[in-house]
Amino acid sequence: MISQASWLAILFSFCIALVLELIRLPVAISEFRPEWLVLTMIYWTLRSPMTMGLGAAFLVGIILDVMAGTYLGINSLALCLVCYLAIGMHKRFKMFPIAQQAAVAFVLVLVHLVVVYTFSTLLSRAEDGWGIFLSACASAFFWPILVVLYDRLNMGLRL
Amino acid sequence: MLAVILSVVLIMVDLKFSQLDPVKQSISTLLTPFQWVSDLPVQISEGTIFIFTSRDELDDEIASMRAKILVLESKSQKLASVTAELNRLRELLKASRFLDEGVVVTELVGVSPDPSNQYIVIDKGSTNGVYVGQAVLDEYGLMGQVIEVNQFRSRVLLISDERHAVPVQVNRNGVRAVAHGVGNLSELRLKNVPDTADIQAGDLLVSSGLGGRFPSGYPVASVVGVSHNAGEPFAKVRVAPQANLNQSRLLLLVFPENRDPAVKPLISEQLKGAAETEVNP
Repeated sequence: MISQASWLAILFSFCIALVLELIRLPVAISEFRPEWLVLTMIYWTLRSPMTMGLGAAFLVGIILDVMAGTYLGINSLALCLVCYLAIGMHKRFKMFPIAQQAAVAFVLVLVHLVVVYTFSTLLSRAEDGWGIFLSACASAFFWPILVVLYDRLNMGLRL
Repeated sequence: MLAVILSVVLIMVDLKFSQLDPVKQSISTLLTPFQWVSDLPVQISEGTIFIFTSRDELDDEIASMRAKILVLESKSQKLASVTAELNRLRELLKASRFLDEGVVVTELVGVSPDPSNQYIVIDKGSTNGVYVGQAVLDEYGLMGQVIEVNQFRSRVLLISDERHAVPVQVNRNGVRAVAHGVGNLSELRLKNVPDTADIQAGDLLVSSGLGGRFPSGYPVASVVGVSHNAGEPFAKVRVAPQANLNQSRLLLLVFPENRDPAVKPLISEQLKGAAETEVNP
Protein backbone atom coordinates (compact mmCIF):
# COMPACT_ATOMS: atom_id res chain seq x y z
CA MET A 1 0.00 0.00 0.00
CA ILE A 2 1.16 3.51 -0.78
CA SER A 3 0.50 6.08 1.84
CA GLN A 4 -0.95 8.94 -0.20
CA ALA A 5 -4.63 8.94 -0.83
CA SER A 6 -6.49 11.17 -3.22
CA TRP A 7 -9.68 12.82 -2.04
CA LEU A 8 -11.34 11.94 -5.30
CA ALA A 9 -10.62 8.24 -4.78
CA ILE A 10 -11.87 8.42 -1.19
CA LEU A 11 -15.12 10.09 -2.24
CA PHE A 12 -15.63 7.70 -5.11
CA SER A 13 -14.97 4.62 -2.98
CA PHE A 14 -17.46 5.78 -0.37
CA CYS A 15 -20.08 6.35 -3.06
CA ILE A 16 -19.53 2.77 -4.31
CA ALA A 17 -19.72 1.43 -0.76
CA LEU A 18 -22.95 3.34 -0.07
CA VAL A 19 -24.62 1.92 -3.16
CA LEU A 20 -23.43 -1.60 -2.34
CA GLU A 21 -24.63 -1.20 1.21
CA LEU A 22 -28.12 -0.27 0.05
CA ILE A 23 -28.46 -2.78 -2.77
CA ARG A 24 -31.21 -5.33 -2.42
CA LEU A 25 -30.18 -8.93 -1.82
CA PRO A 26 -32.39 -12.02 -1.95
CA VAL A 27 -33.64 -13.02 1.50
CA ALA A 28 -31.61 -16.24 1.46
CA ILE A 29 -28.24 -14.46 1.35
CA SER A 30 -29.14 -11.23 3.12
CA GLU A 31 -27.35 -12.46 6.27
CA PHE A 32 -24.10 -12.61 4.30
CA ARG A 33 -24.08 -8.92 3.43
CA PRO A 34 -20.55 -7.55 3.90
CA GLU A 35 -20.23 -4.30 5.80
CA TRP A 36 -19.04 -2.30 2.81
CA LEU A 37 -18.87 1.10 4.49
CA VAL A 38 -16.99 -0.27 7.51
CA LEU A 39 -14.52 -2.07 5.22
CA THR A 40 -14.00 1.10 3.17
CA MET A 41 -13.42 3.13 6.30
CA ILE A 42 -10.92 0.56 7.61
CA TYR A 43 -9.11 0.54 4.27
CA TRP A 44 -8.64 4.31 4.18
CA THR A 45 -7.67 4.51 7.84
CA LEU A 46 -5.00 1.86 7.34
CA ARG A 47 -3.73 3.46 4.17
CA SER A 48 -3.51 7.04 5.34
CA PRO A 49 -4.56 7.67 8.93
CA MET A 50 -3.62 11.34 8.48
CA THR A 51 -6.40 12.06 5.95
CA MET A 52 -9.08 9.67 7.21
CA GLY A 53 -9.03 9.60 10.98
CA LEU A 54 -11.52 9.47 13.81
CA GLY A 55 -13.46 12.52 12.62
CA ALA A 56 -14.20 10.89 9.30
CA ALA A 57 -15.12 7.66 11.08
CA PHE A 58 -17.60 9.60 13.18
CA LEU A 59 -19.28 11.13 10.11
CA VAL A 60 -19.45 7.81 8.25
CA GLY A 61 -20.92 6.26 11.40
CA ILE A 62 -23.66 8.89 11.46
CA ILE A 63 -24.54 8.08 7.85
CA LEU A 64 -24.66 4.38 8.76
CA ASP A 65 -26.98 5.18 11.66
CA VAL A 66 -29.37 7.12 9.46
CA MET A 67 -29.35 4.33 6.88
CA ALA A 68 -30.03 1.60 9.41
CA GLY A 69 -32.61 3.66 11.28
CA THR A 70 -30.95 3.05 14.63
CA TYR A 71 -30.34 5.63 17.32
CA LEU A 72 -27.94 8.26 16.08
CA GLY A 73 -24.45 7.58 17.43
CA ILE A 74 -24.34 3.82 17.82
CA ASN A 75 -22.56 3.12 14.57
CA SER A 76 -20.35 6.17 14.90
CA LEU A 77 -19.22 5.02 18.34
CA ALA A 78 -18.42 1.55 17.00
CA LEU A 79 -16.67 2.89 13.92
CA CYS A 80 -14.53 5.27 16.03
CA LEU A 81 -13.39 2.33 18.17
CA VAL A 82 -12.56 0.29 15.08
CA CYS A 83 -10.63 3.19 13.55
CA TYR A 84 -8.72 3.70 16.77
CA LEU A 85 -7.64 0.04 16.66
CA ALA A 86 -6.80 0.35 12.97
CA ILE A 87 -4.66 3.46 13.45
CA GLY A 88 -2.72 1.64 16.14
CA MET A 89 -1.73 -1.13 13.77
CA HIS A 90 -1.48 0.62 10.42
CA LYS A 91 2.33 0.36 10.17
CA ARG A 92 2.41 -3.37 10.90
CA PHE A 93 -0.60 -3.98 8.71
CA LYS A 94 1.25 -2.99 5.55
CA MET A 95 3.67 -5.91 6.04
CA PHE A 96 0.96 -8.56 6.47
CA PRO A 97 0.25 -11.03 3.66
CA ILE A 98 -3.21 -10.66 2.18
CA ALA A 99 -4.74 -13.63 4.06
CA GLN A 100 -3.61 -12.18 7.37
CA GLN A 101 -4.98 -8.81 6.34
CA ALA A 102 -8.34 -10.44 5.71
CA ALA A 103 -8.21 -12.05 9.15
CA VAL A 104 -7.53 -8.66 10.75
CA ALA A 105 -10.38 -7.15 8.73
CA PHE A 106 -12.61 -9.93 10.05
CA VAL A 107 -11.73 -9.05 13.64
CA LEU A 108 -12.21 -5.32 13.07
CA VAL A 109 -15.60 -5.77 11.41
CA LEU A 110 -16.59 -8.14 14.18
CA VAL A 111 -15.64 -5.54 16.80
CA HIS A 112 -17.81 -3.01 14.99
CA LEU A 113 -20.77 -5.38 14.77
CA VAL A 114 -20.46 -6.52 18.38
CA VAL A 115 -20.48 -2.93 19.64
CA VAL A 116 -23.49 -2.05 17.45
CA TYR A 117 -25.27 -5.24 18.52
CA THR A 118 -24.59 -4.61 22.21
CA PHE A 119 -25.89 -1.07 22.10
CA SER A 120 -28.96 -1.75 20.00
CA THR A 121 -29.87 -4.68 22.25
CA LEU A 122 -29.35 -2.54 25.35
CA LEU A 123 -31.46 0.29 24.02
CA SER A 124 -34.31 -1.29 22.14
CA ARG A 125 -34.70 -4.92 21.23
CA ALA A 126 -33.34 -8.39 21.79
CA GLU A 127 -32.40 -10.15 18.60
CA ASP A 128 -30.61 -13.19 17.35
CA GLY A 129 -26.97 -12.18 17.16
CA TRP A 130 -25.34 -14.99 15.21
CA GLY A 131 -25.88 -13.19 11.93
CA ILE A 132 -23.00 -10.84 12.74
CA PHE A 133 -20.49 -13.70 12.35
CA LEU A 134 -21.80 -14.44 8.86
CA SER A 135 -21.59 -10.77 7.98
CA ALA A 136 -18.04 -10.51 9.33
CA CYS A 137 -16.99 -13.65 7.40
CA ALA A 138 -18.42 -12.20 4.18
CA SER A 139 -16.56 -8.94 4.87
CA ALA A 140 -13.26 -10.79 5.31
CA PHE A 141 -13.92 -12.71 2.10
CA PHE A 142 -14.40 -9.49 0.12
CA TRP A 143 -11.46 -7.68 1.72
CA PRO A 144 -8.78 -8.77 -0.84
CA ILE A 145 -11.05 -7.85 -3.76
CA LEU A 146 -11.77 -4.50 -2.17
CA VAL A 147 -8.08 -3.78 -1.56
CA VAL A 148 -7.18 -4.49 -5.19
CA LEU A 149 -10.10 -2.37 -6.43
CA TYR A 150 -9.37 0.60 -4.18
CA ASP A 151 -5.61 0.44 -4.87
CA ARG A 152 -6.35 0.68 -8.56
CA LEU A 153 -8.84 3.46 -7.95
CA ASN A 154 -6.31 5.40 -5.93
CA MET A 155 -3.58 4.98 -8.52
CA GLY A 156 -5.93 6.03 -11.28
CA LEU A 157 -7.33 9.08 -9.56
CA ARG A 158 -4.16 10.40 -7.92
CA LEU A 159 -3.60 13.96 -9.00
CA MET B 1 -11.86 9.87 23.01
CA LEU B 2 -13.72 13.04 22.10
CA ALA B 3 -15.51 11.20 19.30
CA VAL B 4 -16.54 8.41 21.68
CA ILE B 5 -17.95 10.88 24.20
CA LEU B 6 -19.74 12.74 21.42
CA SER B 7 -21.25 9.47 20.17
CA VAL B 8 -22.50 8.52 23.61
CA VAL B 9 -24.03 11.97 24.08
CA LEU B 10 -25.70 11.64 20.66
CA ILE B 11 -27.15 8.25 21.59
CA MET B 12 -28.55 9.67 24.82
CA VAL B 13 -30.03 12.73 23.13
CA ASP B 14 -31.59 10.66 20.36
CA LEU B 15 -32.97 8.17 22.86
CA LYS B 16 -34.74 10.76 25.00
CA PHE B 17 -35.54 13.72 22.78
CA SER B 18 -36.74 14.26 19.24
CA GLN B 19 -34.62 17.33 18.44
CA LEU B 20 -32.36 15.30 16.15
CA ASP B 21 -35.19 14.18 13.87
CA PRO B 22 -34.78 17.01 11.33
CA VAL B 23 -31.03 16.21 11.13
CA LYS B 24 -31.82 12.57 10.43
CA GLN B 25 -34.43 13.57 7.88
CA SER B 26 -32.08 15.84 5.97
CA ILE B 27 -29.31 13.23 5.93
CA SER B 28 -31.71 10.60 4.66
CA THR B 29 -32.93 13.00 1.97
CA LEU B 30 -29.28 13.42 0.93
CA LEU B 31 -28.96 9.64 0.71
CA THR B 32 -31.93 9.36 -1.66
CA PRO B 33 -29.83 9.37 -4.88
CA PHE B 34 -27.74 6.47 -3.57
CA GLN B 35 -30.90 4.54 -2.88
CA TRP B 36 -32.05 5.26 -6.41
CA VAL B 37 -28.77 4.03 -7.89
CA SER B 38 -28.76 0.89 -5.73
CA ASP B 39 -32.25 0.09 -6.97
CA LEU B 40 -31.17 0.41 -10.63
CA PRO B 41 -30.02 -3.22 -11.11
CA VAL B 42 -33.46 -4.49 -10.10
CA GLN B 43 -35.19 -1.94 -12.33
CA ILE B 44 -32.94 -2.78 -15.27
CA SER B 45 -33.40 -6.54 -14.89
CA GLU B 46 -37.15 -6.09 -14.74
CA GLY B 47 -36.96 -3.83 -17.78
CA THR B 48 -34.98 -6.36 -19.82
CA ILE B 49 -37.35 -9.15 -18.81
CA PHE B 50 -40.17 -6.96 -20.06
CA ILE B 51 -38.42 -6.27 -23.36
CA PHE B 52 -37.79 -9.95 -24.02
CA THR B 53 -41.30 -11.11 -23.18
CA SER B 54 -43.02 -12.45 -26.24
CA ARG B 55 -46.18 -10.93 -27.66
CA ASP B 56 -48.21 -14.05 -26.88
CA GLU B 57 -47.25 -13.97 -23.23
CA LEU B 58 -48.21 -10.31 -23.00
CA ASP B 59 -51.52 -11.03 -24.70
CA ASP B 60 -52.16 -13.83 -22.22
CA GLU B 61 -51.29 -11.54 -19.35
CA ILE B 62 -53.62 -8.82 -20.61
CA ALA B 63 -56.43 -11.34 -21.06
CA SER B 64 -56.06 -12.73 -17.55
CA MET B 65 -55.89 -9.19 -16.13
CA ARG B 66 -59.09 -8.26 -17.99
CA ALA B 67 -60.81 -11.30 -16.55
CA LYS B 68 -59.59 -10.36 -13.09
CA ILE B 69 -60.83 -6.76 -13.49
CA LEU B 70 -64.25 -8.07 -14.52
CA VAL B 71 -64.50 -10.26 -11.43
CA LEU B 72 -63.28 -7.48 -9.14
CA GLU B 73 -65.67 -4.94 -10.66
CA SER B 74 -68.66 -7.17 -10.16
CA LYS B 75 -67.53 -7.65 -6.57
CA SER B 76 -67.07 -3.91 -6.04
CA GLN B 77 -70.59 -3.22 -7.40
CA LYS B 78 -71.90 -5.41 -4.66
CA LEU B 79 -69.56 -3.71 -2.20
CA ALA B 80 -71.10 -0.27 -2.82
CA SER B 81 -74.60 -1.48 -1.97
CA VAL B 82 -73.33 -3.48 1.00
CA THR B 83 -71.45 -0.43 2.35
CA ALA B 84 -74.59 1.70 2.02
CA GLU B 85 -76.61 -0.91 3.84
CA LEU B 86 -73.96 -1.21 6.54
CA ASN B 87 -74.05 2.55 7.09
CA ARG B 88 -77.87 2.50 7.34
CA LEU B 89 -77.69 -0.27 9.92
CA ARG B 90 -74.99 1.56 11.82
CA GLU B 91 -77.14 4.68 11.85
CA LEU B 92 -79.97 2.61 13.34
CA LEU B 93 -77.53 1.48 16.03
CA LYS B 94 -76.36 5.07 16.52
CA ALA B 95 -72.80 3.95 15.82
CA SER B 96 -70.22 6.01 13.97
CA ARG B 97 -70.31 5.77 10.19
CA PHE B 98 -68.14 3.35 8.31
CA LEU B 99 -65.47 5.52 6.77
CA ASP B 100 -64.32 5.13 3.23
CA GLU B 101 -60.58 5.23 2.70
CA GLY B 102 -58.65 6.40 -0.29
CA VAL B 103 -55.46 4.70 -1.38
CA VAL B 104 -52.41 5.87 -3.28
CA VAL B 105 -50.18 3.43 -5.12
CA THR B 106 -46.53 3.53 -4.16
CA GLU B 107 -43.49 1.53 -5.13
CA LEU B 108 -40.97 -0.25 -2.95
CA VAL B 109 -37.48 1.14 -3.57
CA GLY B 110 -35.41 -0.36 -0.79
CA VAL B 111 -35.36 -2.95 1.92
CA SER B 112 -33.54 -3.08 5.21
CA PRO B 113 -29.92 -4.18 4.85
CA ASP B 114 -30.18 -5.66 8.34
CA PRO B 115 -32.36 -8.80 8.50
CA SER B 116 -33.12 -8.31 12.19
CA ASN B 117 -34.49 -4.84 11.58
CA GLN B 118 -37.41 -5.26 9.23
CA TYR B 119 -38.42 -2.20 7.29
CA ILE B 120 -38.84 -1.22 3.68
CA VAL B 121 -38.44 2.10 1.90
CA ILE B 122 -41.17 3.43 -0.41
CA ASP B 123 -40.98 6.12 -3.07
CA LYS B 124 -43.47 8.57 -1.57
CA GLY B 125 -42.53 11.16 1.03
CA SER B 126 -43.79 14.26 2.79
CA THR B 127 -44.26 16.01 -0.58
CA ASN B 128 -46.92 13.39 -1.34
CA GLY B 129 -48.63 13.86 2.02
CA VAL B 130 -47.32 10.74 3.68
CA TYR B 131 -47.34 10.98 7.47
CA VAL B 132 -45.88 8.96 10.33
CA GLY B 133 -48.26 6.23 11.45
CA GLN B 134 -49.90 5.75 8.07
CA ALA B 135 -50.92 2.19 7.17
CA VAL B 136 -49.39 0.47 4.13
CA LEU B 137 -51.06 -2.43 2.32
CA ASP B 138 -50.31 -4.72 -0.56
CA GLU B 139 -53.01 -6.44 -2.61
CA TYR B 140 -53.40 -9.23 -0.06
CA GLY B 141 -53.30 -7.46 3.29
CA LEU B 142 -51.63 -5.15 5.75
CA MET B 143 -47.87 -4.65 5.30
CA GLY B 144 -46.93 -2.22 8.05
CA GLN B 145 -46.87 1.41 9.06
CA VAL B 146 -44.81 4.46 8.16
CA ILE B 147 -42.28 5.28 10.87
CA GLU B 148 -40.09 7.90 9.22
CA VAL B 149 -40.76 10.39 6.44
CA ASN B 150 -38.30 12.44 4.45
CA GLN B 151 -39.03 14.61 1.47
CA PHE B 152 -39.17 11.90 -1.20
CA ARG B 153 -38.98 8.59 0.66
CA SER B 154 -40.54 6.99 3.71
CA ARG B 155 -39.53 4.12 5.87
CA VAL B 156 -42.21 1.51 6.60
CA LEU B 157 -41.93 -0.81 9.58
CA LEU B 158 -43.22 -4.26 8.62
CA ILE B 159 -45.77 -6.05 10.80
CA SER B 160 -43.26 -8.89 11.20
CA ASP B 161 -40.69 -6.74 13.01
CA GLU B 162 -40.14 -7.64 16.64
CA ARG B 163 -41.12 -4.15 17.77
CA HIS B 164 -44.43 -4.18 15.93
CA ALA B 165 -47.91 -5.20 17.05
CA VAL B 166 -51.31 -4.86 15.35
CA PRO B 167 -54.70 -5.04 17.06
CA VAL B 168 -56.71 -7.64 15.14
CA GLN B 169 -59.97 -9.53 15.37
CA VAL B 170 -61.11 -12.86 14.01
CA ASN B 171 -63.26 -12.23 10.95
CA ARG B 172 -65.58 -15.15 11.78
CA ASN B 173 -66.69 -14.09 15.26
CA GLY B 174 -64.95 -10.86 16.26
CA VAL B 175 -62.64 -12.26 18.94
CA ARG B 176 -60.02 -9.60 19.61
CA ALA B 177 -56.26 -10.17 19.89
CA VAL B 178 -52.95 -8.47 19.24
CA ALA B 179 -50.64 -9.83 16.54
CA HIS B 180 -46.97 -9.38 17.39
CA GLY B 181 -44.10 -9.69 14.96
CA VAL B 182 -41.39 -12.18 15.82
CA GLY B 183 -38.70 -11.07 13.39
CA ASN B 184 -39.65 -13.65 10.79
CA LEU B 185 -41.23 -12.51 7.51
CA SER B 186 -43.59 -15.49 7.33
CA GLU B 187 -44.82 -15.64 10.90
CA LEU B 188 -46.62 -13.55 13.52
CA ARG B 189 -47.81 -14.56 16.94
CA LEU B 190 -50.92 -13.80 18.96
CA LYS B 191 -50.01 -13.18 22.57
CA ASN B 192 -52.12 -13.56 25.71
CA VAL B 193 -54.93 -15.49 24.05
CA PRO B 194 -56.97 -17.38 26.68
CA ASP B 195 -57.21 -21.14 26.22
CA THR B 196 -60.96 -20.86 25.79
CA ALA B 197 -60.92 -18.25 23.01
CA ASP B 198 -62.67 -19.39 19.85
CA ILE B 199 -59.78 -19.27 17.40
CA GLN B 200 -59.21 -22.10 14.93
CA ALA B 201 -56.65 -22.90 12.30
CA GLY B 202 -57.70 -21.27 9.04
CA ASP B 203 -59.38 -18.26 10.62
CA LEU B 204 -58.80 -14.91 8.93
CA LEU B 205 -57.62 -12.08 11.18
CA VAL B 206 -58.55 -8.55 10.12
CA SER B 207 -57.36 -5.29 11.62
CA SER B 208 -59.80 -4.19 14.30
CA GLY B 209 -59.05 -0.47 14.15
CA LEU B 210 -58.72 -0.32 17.91
CA GLY B 211 -56.00 2.04 19.01
CA GLY B 212 -56.81 4.28 16.08
CA ARG B 213 -53.60 3.70 14.18
CA PHE B 214 -54.71 1.18 11.58
CA PRO B 215 -57.91 1.39 9.55
CA SER B 216 -60.31 -1.41 10.44
CA GLY B 217 -61.28 -4.33 8.27
CA TYR B 218 -58.11 -5.05 6.30
CA PRO B 219 -56.87 -8.64 6.32
CA VAL B 220 -53.72 -9.03 8.41
CA ALA B 221 -53.02 -12.73 8.83
CA SER B 222 -54.49 -16.19 8.81
CA VAL B 223 -54.22 -18.67 11.68
CA VAL B 224 -51.81 -21.53 10.99
CA GLY B 225 -52.11 -23.46 14.20
CA VAL B 226 -53.36 -23.26 17.77
CA SER B 227 -51.69 -25.33 20.44
CA HIS B 228 -53.07 -25.66 23.95
CA ASN B 229 -50.59 -26.54 26.64
CA ALA B 230 -52.00 -27.43 30.05
CA GLY B 231 -48.95 -26.00 31.81
CA GLU B 232 -49.22 -22.55 30.27
CA PRO B 233 -51.77 -19.84 31.02
CA PHE B 234 -52.33 -18.90 27.38
CA ALA B 235 -52.81 -20.73 24.13
CA LYS B 236 -50.03 -20.52 21.58
CA VAL B 237 -51.40 -19.20 18.30
CA ARG B 238 -49.18 -19.09 15.24
CA VAL B 239 -50.40 -16.99 12.33
CA ALA B 240 -49.03 -16.25 8.87
CA PRO B 241 -49.26 -12.72 7.46
CA GLN B 242 -51.63 -12.35 4.48
CA ALA B 243 -49.46 -9.76 2.75
CA ASN B 244 -46.50 -10.93 0.68
CA LEU B 245 -44.00 -9.21 2.94
CA ASN B 246 -40.93 -10.19 0.92
CA GLN B 247 -42.35 -10.12 -2.60
CA SER B 248 -44.76 -7.29 -3.17
CA ARG B 249 -43.33 -4.38 -5.08
CA LEU B 250 -46.40 -2.21 -5.65
CA LEU B 251 -47.95 -1.13 -2.37
CA LEU B 252 -50.91 0.99 -1.30
CA LEU B 253 -50.81 3.90 1.14
CA VAL B 254 -54.11 4.34 2.97
CA PHE B 255 -55.46 7.87 3.29
CA PRO B 256 -58.46 8.00 5.62
CA GLU B 257 -61.03 10.48 4.26
CA ASN B 258 -61.12 12.38 7.48
CA ARG B 259 -58.07 11.75 9.56
CA ASP B 260 -59.69 12.90 12.79
CA PRO B 261 -63.43 12.40 12.27
CA ALA B 262 -64.51 13.08 15.85
CA VAL B 263 -62.66 16.32 16.42
CA LYS B 264 -62.59 18.41 13.27
CA PRO B 265 -66.29 18.97 12.46
CA LEU B 266 -67.02 19.88 16.05
CA ILE B 267 -64.37 22.57 16.08
CA SER B 268 -65.53 24.09 12.81
CA GLU B 269 -69.15 24.22 14.04
CA GLN B 270 -68.05 25.87 17.27
CA LEU B 271 -66.14 28.46 15.28
CA LYS B 272 -69.16 29.06 13.06
CA GLY B 273 -71.37 29.47 16.11
CA ALA B 274 -68.90 31.87 17.67
CA ALA B 275 -68.77 33.93 14.49
CA GLU B 276 -72.56 34.13 14.28
CA THR B 277 -72.96 35.22 17.87
CA GLU B 278 -70.46 37.96 17.24
CA VAL B 279 -72.38 39.26 14.24
CA ASN B 280 -75.96 38.92 15.49
CA PRO B 281 -76.15 41.11 18.58
